[in-house]
Amino acid sequence: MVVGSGGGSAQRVPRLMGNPANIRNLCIMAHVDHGKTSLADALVASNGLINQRQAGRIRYMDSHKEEIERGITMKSSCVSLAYSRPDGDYLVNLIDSPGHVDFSSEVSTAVRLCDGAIIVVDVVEGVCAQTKVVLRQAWLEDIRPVLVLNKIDRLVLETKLSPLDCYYHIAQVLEQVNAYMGELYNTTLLGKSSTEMERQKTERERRASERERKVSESMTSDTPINFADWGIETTDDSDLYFSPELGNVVFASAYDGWGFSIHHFANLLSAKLGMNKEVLNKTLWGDYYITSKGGEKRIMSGARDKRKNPLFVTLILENLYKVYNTVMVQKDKKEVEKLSDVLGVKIPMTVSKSTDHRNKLNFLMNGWLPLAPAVLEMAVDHLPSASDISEERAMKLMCSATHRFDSLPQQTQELKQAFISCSRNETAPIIVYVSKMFGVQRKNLPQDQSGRAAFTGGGGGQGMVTEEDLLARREEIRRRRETTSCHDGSATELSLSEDEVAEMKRKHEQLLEDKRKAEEERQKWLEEEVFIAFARVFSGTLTVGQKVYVLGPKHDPSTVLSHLSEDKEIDEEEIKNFKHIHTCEVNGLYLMLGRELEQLECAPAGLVVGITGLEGCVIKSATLSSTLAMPAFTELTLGATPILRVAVETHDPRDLPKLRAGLKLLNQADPCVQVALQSSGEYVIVTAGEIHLQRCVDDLQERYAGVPIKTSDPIVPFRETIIPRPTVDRLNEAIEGENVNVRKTDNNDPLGAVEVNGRLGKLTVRAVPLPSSVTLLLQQHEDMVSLVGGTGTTDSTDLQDPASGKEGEKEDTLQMQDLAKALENRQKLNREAVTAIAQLKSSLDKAFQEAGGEWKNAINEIWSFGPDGRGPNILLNRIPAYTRHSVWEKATTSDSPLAPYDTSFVTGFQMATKAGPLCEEPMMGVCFVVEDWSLAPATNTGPSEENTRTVNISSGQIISLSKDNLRKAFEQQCQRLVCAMYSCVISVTSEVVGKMYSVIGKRQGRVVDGDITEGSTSWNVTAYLPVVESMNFANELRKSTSGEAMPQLVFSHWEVLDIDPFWEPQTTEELTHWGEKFDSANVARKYINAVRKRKGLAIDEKIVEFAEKQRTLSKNK
Amino acid sequence: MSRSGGKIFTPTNQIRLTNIAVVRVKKAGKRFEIACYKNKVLSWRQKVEKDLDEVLQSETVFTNVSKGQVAKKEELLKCFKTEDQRAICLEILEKGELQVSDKERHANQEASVKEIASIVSDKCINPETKTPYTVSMIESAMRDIHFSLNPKRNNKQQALDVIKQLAPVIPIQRAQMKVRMTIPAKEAKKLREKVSQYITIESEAFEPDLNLVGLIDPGHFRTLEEAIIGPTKGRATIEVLTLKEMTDTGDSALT
Repeated sequence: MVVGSGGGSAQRVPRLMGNPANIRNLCIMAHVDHGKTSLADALVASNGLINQRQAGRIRYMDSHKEEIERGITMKSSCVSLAYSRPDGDYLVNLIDSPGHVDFSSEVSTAVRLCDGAIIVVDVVEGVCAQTKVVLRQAWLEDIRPVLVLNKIDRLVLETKLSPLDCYYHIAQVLEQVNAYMGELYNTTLLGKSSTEMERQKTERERRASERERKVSESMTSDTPINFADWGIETTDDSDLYFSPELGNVVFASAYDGWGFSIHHFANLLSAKLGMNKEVLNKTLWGDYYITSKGGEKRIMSGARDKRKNPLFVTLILENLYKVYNTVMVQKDKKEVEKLSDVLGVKIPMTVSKSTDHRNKLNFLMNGWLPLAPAVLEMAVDHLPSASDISEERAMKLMCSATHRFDSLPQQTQELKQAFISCSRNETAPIIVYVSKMFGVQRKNLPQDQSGRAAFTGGGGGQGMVTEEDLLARREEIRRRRETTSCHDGSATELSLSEDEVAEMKRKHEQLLEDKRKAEEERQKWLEEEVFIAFARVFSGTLTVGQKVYVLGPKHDPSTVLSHLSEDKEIDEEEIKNFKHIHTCEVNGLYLMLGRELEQLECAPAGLVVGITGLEGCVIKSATLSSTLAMPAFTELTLGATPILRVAVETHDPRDLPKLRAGLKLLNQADPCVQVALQSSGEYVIVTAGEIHLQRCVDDLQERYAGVPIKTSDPIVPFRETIIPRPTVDRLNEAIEGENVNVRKTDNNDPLGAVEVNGRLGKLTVRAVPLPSSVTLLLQQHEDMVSLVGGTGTTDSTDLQDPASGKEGEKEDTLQMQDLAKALENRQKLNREAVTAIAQLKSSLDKAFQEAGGEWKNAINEIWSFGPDGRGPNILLNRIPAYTRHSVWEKATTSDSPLAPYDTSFVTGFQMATKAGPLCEEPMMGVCFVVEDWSLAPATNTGPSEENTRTVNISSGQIISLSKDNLRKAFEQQCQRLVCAMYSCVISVTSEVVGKMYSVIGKRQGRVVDGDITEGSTSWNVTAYLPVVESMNFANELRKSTSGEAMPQLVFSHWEVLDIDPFWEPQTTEELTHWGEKFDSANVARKYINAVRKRKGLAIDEKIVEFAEKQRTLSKNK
Repeated sequence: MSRSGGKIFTPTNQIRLTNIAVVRVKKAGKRFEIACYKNKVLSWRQKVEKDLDEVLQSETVFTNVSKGQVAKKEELLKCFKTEDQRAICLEILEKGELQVSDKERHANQEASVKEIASIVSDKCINPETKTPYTVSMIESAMRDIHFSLNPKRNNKQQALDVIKQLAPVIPIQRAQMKVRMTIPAKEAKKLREKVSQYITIESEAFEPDLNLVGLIDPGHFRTLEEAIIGPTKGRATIEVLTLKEMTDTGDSALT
């Protein structure tokens, strides 16, 4: 067993890439602080990249400044290690993943590239929330896990358990892990009811029962066990459970640099005790004990019942304890020396003399039970090689669970074979999956030819050329000087040459300047971010300079193939028509060695590599292939969806373009961040949590945007509406007759109509809540409505009219490409649109008919929709003297005196609905009925001009007339605030369900559904939560449920907040219940005040609450 | 030592009015004052504060609060036609001129600046990206140009000034308005010339009346309206399609 040493793995790695069967791609996953990076350290040290002594402390894989400061991993990073043992040399691509919840997306991207996973569990803390998450992730991605039980030293030194207790404790942790694996298995089983799963299950159960039977048989017989009976079938279960006797568990302390598996001790002890290695292998873990009757050592089962110490305790743990005891507790130098002799470990003089006992221990244990070989051996033995991709997994990668594999085109199905064979022939199709992009500064790339070539060729500046030129010129100048100095006898020549010298000096300075500039430019270029794609080659060989297809996540091979089937020639031009396909050249290939990168010429199948040159066409993840038949890899199962929304902006508005560019880069670099530009102009980033946010902002400030940035809570939208006047008060008492104490409105019109009769004429309007079905319809068909009511004068029969007002609005709903097409086939679209509009009209009519009452004829009275001509508010025309075409009909010119002011009135309506009186937010579900409108008789116009225009009224006056009065009409009704609601799905274990409910309740949330998931102990709860309350909700929830609850928030709907923002006790009952002052908090009021304050509107808040409590300036005055 | 007779004026029996705001009114040549608490009178006038005891120090009408001179009954009767001090206090509270206290002034200023900023953010866009600015961004830009509030002018006017002042500092522009004009065929040709200097035309068609759709500066709306409606005797129309023309926003805008 030789572990690669000294010379660095970089040279050996290319040699090892040869055989995919000897490549292991694996990642280390665990809960935060369970020792992933320390373990990675030990493995890296085995390859000589870092000093053995520093392993476990240096955290080689954490290179980001933030990572080092906080002591947690944030980015997954990869290192390629060589491992050799007698039966062959292996290449291990190790990915260290972060454990913190906020970065679970990094874990997802790492898992996709791997075939196996090392799960690390802290034996003191046991199975934690993230441990479960990563186990689940591995399970979902079909990745074989192995287990490392870490931090056993803490059991010895910190908790001071006796060896026996220690054994039981470890056994318990192992049980917890296996229990969760069983749960996962059960849940999947119950989730999928396919016959195949059933078959597998019965098979498994049969095996399990068989095994149990056998075990119980052997248990009952108190005789030595004949291990020949243990069938092969039992090992078949190994893909599901961890058990030390199978060798997929390593006991370790990454900090002290030691680790072992049962096999290791079986090898050691079989020689010592003279026992069969196989027997020891099976019995070292478990309920077995050793007796030495009559000089013969025998292994018996049933240690627990007989109060004997199990083998694991007597043969392994006690020895471990002895070492710890001698070095750390007794600290006896002689004893330590003795021990080192026994274990055959040499401690250097410098170490043995020092007083750092931990260091001594480290040396001793690392010499005795080195960690790296133990883990690597387990990985090589138990994790599948790169070439060993199962058919099932290949299918799973190629098509999502919702689609049938058979439904893919034939050519695509054939590619499955490529996955399985993992061939690296030239003929084999290239299949590469890019799981994420990460940025490095160009200067950190290895100084390679391609990089320089790219620089000079890329037009970044002629840095190199200038430099060479400069040398040549300098030489020339020197020569000339020499010649002039030779001829200094002649005065004329001297003066000439002085001129020349001055000239030359100037030139020289200019050259220097040029050089400096070029150098600066180069420096800048070097500091630019280069995106490296973190990718795995599944099939074929990728070489530098090769052209490949980049297939976006939405690429669908069937459409492309059907298009291309007619002519086999794949036309470059034609491919450009498909927006999910790009062609791209591979600029460079890099082997990732933790903090460093190593240049590669080609990357054969099975490798995990970094690829440059893709930043132009890959945003987050993509599939690279040499054939278009390749479907895009299935979407990553992201552990966490981003939920924490904040708005970012620059301190200086001039830096906005930089921020914009920076956000684009950030979006590309981080798989779990979303960026968006809101209609209010604010830039919003959505992150997975607070630490993630902090890192994103730091990255933006320092790397991507390079300008100071501030964050704030994003602006939450509201809507304003009115509801029918309630008939009962808050105590469910009827509001009528004697009961009513206070009349809220001073309007004596029971319907709340507003009537004005001023200089501009007479106007009577009334606001009525729209039937909810109508509101819903209008919201759903916003795009259609905008076609109809955009201006109030377009109509469905004459849509050929090229009103570009409609185009602008359509952009919201149609994709750019679609729009281009739509413009071409306007005719066609119109026909479709006309039928759609007719449908909308009939369904609206139906909704109105169902609402009955005064709505009977409403459909033909609609004057306009608002705001912006398409919102969920309606203006109805019931002016007796003004018959106007409704929005559905063709515009007709009316000779009514009102006609010239028609559009102005509508504009007023649009403005009123755009900003309601509560807090200037748009209205929703409000209908304004104009009952009467007449203009004041014109005073100074002659009778001939009467029906053309009343000169003394401008359109602006009409706009403000309609706007003000519509708002007034709105205020006469029962006003309500409408909140945007998130639907929120949380799954937690039953212990913390209660705590979760209380958090939701505190945030004005409402639980709509909560049920236990079959086959597990977890609850699935669905709740609605107002968006305005969602700030920091996830964090609070996480805190109060000790990290278990992970809410997923999705916008769901608008909901009327059923609290009157202007509520005051109205009936006698309410007065007795709340009193005159009614100073309980009013949520609606609170929201409104917050919005008004933000907008700088007047709020009904006292500047000073208690007049007497204002401080006087000074006592003495 | 003291002068004979009279009260000795010492700091102990001198009452300093520190928490006081005086509201005064001049009526029939006489000055009347009431003593109110600071920072409360505006709240009362806005009907936010409803408790009179929280506003008035005492229900007494003075002729000079700082000297402690109470108004005489006959004067009150003469000027207010009533003797009820409370009613008179209420009247003075409503009509009198008041000293604006520090916090009131501060709150007013803050609200005005916020409102100006939100008007600017509402009316303007960044011409480079065709996206609006947020209120907080405008506020910080206003701080950069050392904007000072003029309490005598209304907020909308000041907002329009701010836009002009901001223009050299940040890329900012009034958001354009999209309008549609229909001009009768007869006058079309002549008026088109006149109109085209204000409008960036997006589409136009003669069918046979001229149908124009284009972007205009919101400030030109009135001018345009007058320009086309006057000569055509009201047969031409102009209508607003969108109040604020800007590019699409959303998740796709950045990726």
